[in-house]
Amino acid sequence: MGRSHPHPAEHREGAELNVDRIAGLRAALTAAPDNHALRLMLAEELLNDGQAGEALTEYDLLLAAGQLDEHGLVAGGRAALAAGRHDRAQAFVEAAGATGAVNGISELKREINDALGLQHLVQVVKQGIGEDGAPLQPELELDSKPAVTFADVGGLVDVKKAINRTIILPFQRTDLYEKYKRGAGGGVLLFGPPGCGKTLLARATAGECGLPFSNVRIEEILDPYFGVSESNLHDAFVQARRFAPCVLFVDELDAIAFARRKFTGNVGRPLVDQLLQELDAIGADNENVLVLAATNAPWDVDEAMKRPGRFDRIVFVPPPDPPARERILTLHLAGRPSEDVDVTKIARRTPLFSGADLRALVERAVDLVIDDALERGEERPLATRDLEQALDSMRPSTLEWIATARNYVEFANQGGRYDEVAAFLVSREARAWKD
Amino acid sequence: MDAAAGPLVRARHDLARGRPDRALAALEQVTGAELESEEFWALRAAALFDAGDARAAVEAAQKGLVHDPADFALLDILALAQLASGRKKDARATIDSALLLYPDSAELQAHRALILARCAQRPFRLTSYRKARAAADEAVRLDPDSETALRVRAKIAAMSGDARAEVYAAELLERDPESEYAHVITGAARANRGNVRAGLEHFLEAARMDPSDPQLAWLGRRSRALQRWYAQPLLFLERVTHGHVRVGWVVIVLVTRSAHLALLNAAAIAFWIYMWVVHIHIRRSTGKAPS
Ligand SMILES: Nc1ncnc2c1ncn2[C@@H]1O[C@H](COP(=O)(O)OP(=O)(O)OP(=O)(O)O)[C@@H](O)[C@H]1O
Ligand SMILES: [Mg+2]
Repeated sequence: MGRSHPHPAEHREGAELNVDRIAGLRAALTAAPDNHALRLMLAEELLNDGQAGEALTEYDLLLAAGQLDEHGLVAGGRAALAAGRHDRAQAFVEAAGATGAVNGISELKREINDALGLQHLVQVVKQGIGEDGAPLQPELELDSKPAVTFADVGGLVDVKKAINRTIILPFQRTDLYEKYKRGAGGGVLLFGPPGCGKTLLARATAGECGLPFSNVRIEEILDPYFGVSESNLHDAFVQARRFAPCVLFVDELDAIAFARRKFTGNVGRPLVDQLLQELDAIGADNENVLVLAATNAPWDVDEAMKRPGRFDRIVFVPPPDPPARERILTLHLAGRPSEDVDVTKIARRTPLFSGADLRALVERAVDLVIDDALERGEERPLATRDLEQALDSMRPSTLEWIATARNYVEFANQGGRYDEVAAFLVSREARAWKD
Repeated sequence: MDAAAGPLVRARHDLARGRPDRALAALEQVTGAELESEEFWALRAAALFDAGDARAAVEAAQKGLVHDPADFALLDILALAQLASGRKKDARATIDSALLLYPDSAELQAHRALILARCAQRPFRLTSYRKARAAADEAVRLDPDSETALRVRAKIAAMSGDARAEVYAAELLERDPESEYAHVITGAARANRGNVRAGLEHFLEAARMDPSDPQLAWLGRRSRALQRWYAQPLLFLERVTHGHVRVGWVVIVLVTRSAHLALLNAAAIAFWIYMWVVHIHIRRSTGKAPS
């Protein structure tokens, strides 16, 4: 878009000159209301003159006409901020996001956040009311501060380290990363068998950083009407950006970003493209939206998702090893009346049990104790033998996943992408169940 | 954001992306009036069928047909599920009545061809794929671009040892080089005509394309075993005899014996034993074919 910037010297020559110019531009615009270049000049003059409200009116018109470039969008946002209209400022940011503009946007965002105060925003979310007083979309889950932290996740030491490296540190030590020109950005994709703590870890990541947690789930995105799924996805990201810094978690990534090869439907592909766009926008903006995703089927995830800047770290979340199982059992036994339970023994007898399986095991054992209490009227604490008894009827729920993963390791381990899984599969525990 | 989509939407999405297990989980959430819709039953039948539970798929499709006896998708899946659960006659009756309702459907015609091909395989009779082939050709004529029709035509050609099988399979591969199905058919076509070595490469490729399919993974494993050194003489002989090595060997053993060629006869018997040892070894190392 060709437009001339007024020379800076002109602005400083006194208010009168400005008033003249403004009046002149207005007159010209009444004659040619569709001259967007003129309107842009007027908007800039007004903003420079401190008439933020008036400037905003012009910028709004230009925005509606789709005539603002990157620079114009930022200027519009500034005008809105100066006029005290945070909602309008946000609209300019969103428009910038939609057109893929990057320059200066994150700075503007920060200004908006500073002006409002993040705390205020989080409060607003909690009450379920948006800035403009309208209720927020109820579908998007947003914890202001998840109560779980890494301490609540048993085992998975390496995975926690990886998350710390790629997500938490770059966020907490921006200075360090900037100094050494080590770009942050890029999300972490967690994959592994069901029930082994992927979702829990994502939540705990937010808890570790003390950030709000926003969960994008396929159920809330999918819509039978054409184009609505994509706009739902976009909205979810817009919301996350509004509450940045925050942790954005895409659960069941394979459902949203499925590989095109296997897809036989006719809709759906745009959804994958939309997610790619959103991820790239977040990466480019550097906006402190920390992105995590999880999947049981990494092989079903579109390859484009795994390119640099998107999910560049792909981390295997294995079933817990014996010490981790001990820890998980202890976590789930905490707070229940029990009598020196031999968790080491139980942990040894539960190879390949997922965290969720272990929780179910504890719950079954508790049921046995309750049955007893009802039958005999004696309320005894939970003991090792209850867990052993409950264990007799249980099988790990990870076996099916492991069988599939074994096939992928054998036939589709190009570039060593499943090497971590391969290493796990040759472990003694994984081989013990091979049938 | 609009109201969250229902489980039916989710199920359809999961089915389209090849995850019948997830689709079934979503369908578990369906309640109320939606349970009475033919869409629910069609999705459920298709998901059960894709997940390999043909018997349950038959039941689901029949329940759906109570609500709409002329539903295309339900009739189609019912016929396929009946075939897969061994009820060939029922399958044939279903597909024939479906074709009365939708005579121009290439899809139905192709599935009829499949059913006819399976009906033709009867013990102690010479199999004739004539009817099946005619139906497959008819399906392709109805819609020359129908993926299903082209697949079925290639598959039946491969099953019946038709020389055109390789051409049909090559066509399939050209349309979609990443189709595991096309690779399996190409592999079968080539192996059937004695070029086992080339066939194995295609089977392996199919396993690489979709290792989540246990049957393909098994086929891939088996192919790898057959590519080992100890199986090479076998592959060579398959090639020389155009895929009739076992029959050929029985003849040799009998002929050498009746001609009193003791040394040759012993050699032939030794080779016969070798073939069985290899066969049993591969069987033991790769297990039974998953159902
Ligand atoms: N490492 C762990 N430490 C403590 N609890 C765990 C752990 N792993 C799993 N659990 C328990 O199992 C439950 C399910 O775990 P979670 O939802 O995180 O699994 P997931 O990997 O996301 O599974 P899915 O793939 O099915 O979504 C948790 O809520 C928690 O109670
Ligand atoms: Mg989860």
